[in-house]
Amino acid sequence: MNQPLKQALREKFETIELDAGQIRSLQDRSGVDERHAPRGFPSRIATVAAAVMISALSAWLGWTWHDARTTAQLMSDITAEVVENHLKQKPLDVESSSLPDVLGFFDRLDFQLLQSPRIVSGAGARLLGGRYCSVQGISAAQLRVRNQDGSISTWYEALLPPGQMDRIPDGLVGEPPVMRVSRGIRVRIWKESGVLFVEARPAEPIL
Amino acid sequence: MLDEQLLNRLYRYCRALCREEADAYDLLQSGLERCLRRPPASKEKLFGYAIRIIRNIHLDNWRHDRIVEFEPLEDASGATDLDVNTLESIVIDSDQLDHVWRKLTDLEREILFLWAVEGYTTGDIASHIGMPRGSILSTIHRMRKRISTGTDSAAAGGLK
Repeated sequence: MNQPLKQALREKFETIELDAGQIRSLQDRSGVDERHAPRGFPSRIATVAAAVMISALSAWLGWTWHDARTTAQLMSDITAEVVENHLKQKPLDVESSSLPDVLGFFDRLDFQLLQSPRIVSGAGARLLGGRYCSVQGISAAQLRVRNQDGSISTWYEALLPPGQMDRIPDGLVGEPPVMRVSRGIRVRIWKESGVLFVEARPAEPIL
Repeated sequence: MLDEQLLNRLYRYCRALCREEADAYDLLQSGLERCLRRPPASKEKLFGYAIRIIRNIHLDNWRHDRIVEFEPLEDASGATDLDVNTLESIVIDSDQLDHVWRKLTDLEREILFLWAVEGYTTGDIASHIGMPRGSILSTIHRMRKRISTGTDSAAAGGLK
């Protein structure tokens, strides 16, 4: 029976079909293969979320690493400068064994010197006096103390910029001081009431 | 994802491309495997995506087997009856169709299938195949002559 080409072609192809076994085989294969690649909307969301989380984690780890490195560098810088001051033992600007008198001498600082209970707390220790110095390039007060064993300790009070002060352990909330040893001098670093305190004294031999 | 209707549509396309039934099924399997490795974003695009992949595999097989079918050029420049409607006017019976079908090139069979079974326009076909629309129309013009000749010879040979 003659008919238009388009109709004849449609009828020809309508008779072409996969058998049931072929369809089942193809569907089974596609089901297995789907584990390789199908990326529907939910899986794309999961991929994006994972990428964001990895980026955030990397950024956090990078920031943490950078922050830790910055803090360690700050402590090293303070230690180096304080040890230098300690070893030079430059002449005192004020000589007195009275802590209030010595603290009262420092009237060119833009912060209130504090009487930390740790200063001159050792038995037999005696305050010798004080002088101006610098810590991290900022004016600071140095107090000098002779210990009972005859060694000299130097104490420092300073006010660092907020970004640096935030990295200093706070003694008033129970954070232990950072302790470093350099050139035979033991250095302890902490803060109280927003003021930086540093103590430098000869390191005690272990043996 | 792959329902029976979709599989059969894809298989028919493969049968349009391949002369042998077994080759068509192999082509379908290869196409599906590659398609599911990197499926399209939506199911609606799956058929178009799949037949593009299937076509590429078929072309690769052509190149590998070095059985590329060259199109005759003699009619391309002189084609004047360049319209898909030229196919609409052809009247044929199933035996004649089977006879001429075997004589058509892969490209001609693909064009006929997409036009008649899938309802593609010449623009759609040109986009799918990656050829200028004018080239598709030239192919259709040549094909019409061959189909007409085929039906004439088939009728003369006793085929109804």
